[in-house]
Amino acid sequence: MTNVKRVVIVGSGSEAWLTAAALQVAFKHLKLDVCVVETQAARDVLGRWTLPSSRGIHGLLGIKEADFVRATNATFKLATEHCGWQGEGSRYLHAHGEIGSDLSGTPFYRYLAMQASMRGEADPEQYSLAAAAARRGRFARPIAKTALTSSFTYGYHLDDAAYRAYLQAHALKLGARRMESGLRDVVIASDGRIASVTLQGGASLEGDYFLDCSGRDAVLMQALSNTARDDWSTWLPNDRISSIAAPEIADAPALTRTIASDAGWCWQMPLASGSVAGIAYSSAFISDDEALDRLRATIPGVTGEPAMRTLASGRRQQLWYRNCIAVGASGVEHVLEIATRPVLATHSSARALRDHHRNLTDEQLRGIAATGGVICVNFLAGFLTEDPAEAEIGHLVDHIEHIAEVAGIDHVGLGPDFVHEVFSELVPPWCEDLAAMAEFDVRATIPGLEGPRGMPLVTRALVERGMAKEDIRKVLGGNVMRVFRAELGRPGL
Amino acid sequence: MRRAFLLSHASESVPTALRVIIVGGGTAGWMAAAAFGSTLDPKRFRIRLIESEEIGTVGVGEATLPHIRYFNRRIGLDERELMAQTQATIKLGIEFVDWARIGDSYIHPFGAYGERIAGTAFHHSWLRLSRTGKAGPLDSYSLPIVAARQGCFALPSEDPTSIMSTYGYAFQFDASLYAKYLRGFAERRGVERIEGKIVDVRQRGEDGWIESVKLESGAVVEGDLFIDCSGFRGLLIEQTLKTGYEQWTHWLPCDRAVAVPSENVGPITPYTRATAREAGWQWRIPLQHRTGNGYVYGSQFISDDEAATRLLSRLEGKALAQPRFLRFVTGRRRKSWNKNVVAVGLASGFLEPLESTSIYLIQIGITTLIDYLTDDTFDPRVVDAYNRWMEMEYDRVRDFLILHYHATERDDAPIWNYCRTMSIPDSLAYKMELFRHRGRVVTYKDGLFLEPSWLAVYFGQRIVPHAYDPLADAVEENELERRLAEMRRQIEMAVTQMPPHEVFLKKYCPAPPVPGLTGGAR
Repeated sequence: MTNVKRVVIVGSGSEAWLTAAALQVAFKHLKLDVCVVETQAARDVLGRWTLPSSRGIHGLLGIKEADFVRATNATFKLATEHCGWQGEGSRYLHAHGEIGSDLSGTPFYRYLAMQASMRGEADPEQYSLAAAAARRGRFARPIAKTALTSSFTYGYHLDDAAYRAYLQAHALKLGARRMESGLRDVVIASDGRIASVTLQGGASLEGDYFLDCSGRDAVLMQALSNTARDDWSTWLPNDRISSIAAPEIADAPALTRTIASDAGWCWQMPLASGSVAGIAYSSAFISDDEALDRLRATIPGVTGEPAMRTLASGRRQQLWYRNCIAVGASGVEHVLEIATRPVLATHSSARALRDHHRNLTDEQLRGIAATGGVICVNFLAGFLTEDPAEAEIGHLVDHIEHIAEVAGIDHVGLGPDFVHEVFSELVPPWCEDLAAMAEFDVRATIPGLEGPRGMPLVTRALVERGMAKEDIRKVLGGNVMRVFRAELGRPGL
Repeated sequence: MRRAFLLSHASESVPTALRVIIVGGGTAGWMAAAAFGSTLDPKRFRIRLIESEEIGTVGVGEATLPHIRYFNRRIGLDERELMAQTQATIKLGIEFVDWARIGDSYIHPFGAYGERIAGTAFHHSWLRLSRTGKAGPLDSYSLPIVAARQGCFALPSEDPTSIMSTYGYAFQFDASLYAKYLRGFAERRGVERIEGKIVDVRQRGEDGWIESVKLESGAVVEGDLFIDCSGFRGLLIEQTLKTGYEQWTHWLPCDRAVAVPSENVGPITPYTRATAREAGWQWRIPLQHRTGNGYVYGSQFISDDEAATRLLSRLEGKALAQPRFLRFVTGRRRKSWNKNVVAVGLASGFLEPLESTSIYLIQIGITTLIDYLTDDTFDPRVVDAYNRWMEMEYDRVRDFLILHYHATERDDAPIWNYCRTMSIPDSLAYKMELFRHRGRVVTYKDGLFLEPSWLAVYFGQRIVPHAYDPLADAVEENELERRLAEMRRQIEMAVTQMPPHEVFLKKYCPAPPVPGLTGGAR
């Protein structure tokens, strides 16, 4: 009744291997060929906490809890404690369990509400077994014996890399295949579905279904141009998350702790040995360095290299698109946020100064900066100002300064497009009509900047604006060289 | 000194208590009175009910859903006493006759079909085996259907591992006796009954809230919260507040009913029957002392006289009264709660009793209100939340009823041709399509009808899925066949041990004899 035989999973995080293992178990009888093609693993959060639902899928996969907990350095999680969210000193528990029980048909929360209205506060934790145990660092599995002993459930804190490795081993044991070679390309068939993926080694891998587990990169969805997305960043403004190893917590409670700060929130979760701490924050409010300082001040004793990743709250509108299904963070992305490698915007100026669709908004500028990339200001007069005929070198410097201000001085460069001297040699006369069809004269240039000979004028203008020597070096090519040195020669996706 | 203290205490407490006035004493009114009287703090709520012996009640319901047992338990009713006092019988489901095609019969049971296999719902495995003719009829995997067909009943088991825990039950009772029983219950719990006909309603000038109602005797009854249980006309919610009504007659074209009781003939069935007819459908609800019958029809398809004649000619036993006619407009009040009036029962909406939802909707209106009545304020957010909830409840029932009419192959009468070809709400259409495609049932957390109900009606109305969940292929065919056979065997064994319905009734809740009637359960 079904002709699905080959499923290709693209991605290398824990969700890719979890998906592979689940397909192997659920469709064992179909003898599916489940292949995992790895993408370059993005730097991710060091530890993760899971909801009780992870126990359900582990059960389905036949994962033995003791074995899994040992392998992933895991601890049990009965609750999340939120500290400081209502101001200094405030705290409450969100425990994985019931709070009280119905009394003569009335839900228990009604009594809490009554208590709150009489005393001005209520203490739900007093009536939650999960909360009491979490706080004391006690744990036992729920037992169906009584209403109380079955009134809670639990999740895990675990080491993400170890979890990924564990799931990979489990999926391979169940018969999933791991491709030795990483992903190079996605081949779209004429009907718009994904036909195959090409591997780095050159081999082609066909499939009936493709699962996009590539995280924020969402490489398959991008290849399908399925990018429509609901953006939630207005409500959930945090766009970065940094995590770092932290020392063991003495008498660790069985909970994750979050601590609201002045620019996002810090967190810490216990592992069987050591702990993981982190901070989620908005780059609009705080720099990466400041965020790490906040984290160090909040959670003492953190060590080692922090892992930072960008994130963009939101949801892909179509999670299942043609023969491709997004699982995990690939349902969450943004064209800027997906890049784990620096983005170079080689010929783009600032939209805030000249509203043209080829220019970049401040948000996009910041996004590119977040990837470590560079925005190279274009010299064409039409991209710099409304009235190209009146353009002068000052307009160009305005764009450079604006981008330096919004994205940072480390993220601005030059992308001249010297069309007058270079372009005229390349474009035969019969193409000129095409150029004339553009909404403005694309050949209009700033006087003096018709060709490379004019470059010293830019340097002089920057000096005149009072820019520091080092910063001018960065603009003139230092930033671009930094990216080239760091990135060229690194293996691709 | 003590006396003074008591007096001052009393005079303080009375004005602070919210004065709740229930208008109308039918099923809805007395259910509300009983629930308020038994669950609300008398120091904070003073409950009164106004009814007139001159105004008849519709006596809706008669057949209920298993949810009524939660209501009874919550307010502290004794089930056996209630059943005995209301001539009640057991209901395991509803039999639908002639709905998809003439000659068809299926039961919508109060319980599950089979058990989950290979991580997917039972019916996928059943569909798979049916294709090779290796499965029995779907009904044979439902304990309540097998028991209903054999006319047997025993109380379900509390042990979740027992096959006897796979079903629930409801009642078929005399709704006017139910109201009477609840009246005694409510009055014993402090609810005051006021006899009288309301002749005038006084509204507050500034915002139109109801201040008081005036009785024919001239007495004025003031209140803070009015529960409109006045039936179709909606004395307060519509006649006074002009709340508005959303009509659904284009989807559910029946607008009249004619009802008549008849003598019991043969064993009392532990289920209700709904038979599709030439202009609507006929109900048959067996009680201990008599059988309730009715014909629900569209006035554009048949005349009142014709409908009554057809009904009388199709009774199994002798008619015990003159036929009574009812008119209704299917739909829902735009707001159940408007200003300080909450409409409950027919005043808040009408849906034909095809799935016995009338009493359920009353019950939900009351219990939801109790949950929302935290204090004496009428916060617009609370009112809005209540109205949204009730809207969802009515809409869910509406879609489920439309399914019965729309998914038919009948083309022998104008009503069926209309319903078969009409456009249906999107909220139903996508559910039907998904089921047709691969047998997937859209489930939801809030509101009526769980997966087995949808399954019963989809299959019963001959919607056959094109495919099943491939997870059902995980088990070897022989093994699957063995497991299905074992389920059937267990169900048959369990039913064999059940007493006949009438024997159960006689032991559990024998009703007092009614003069002139020969009840089946005695």
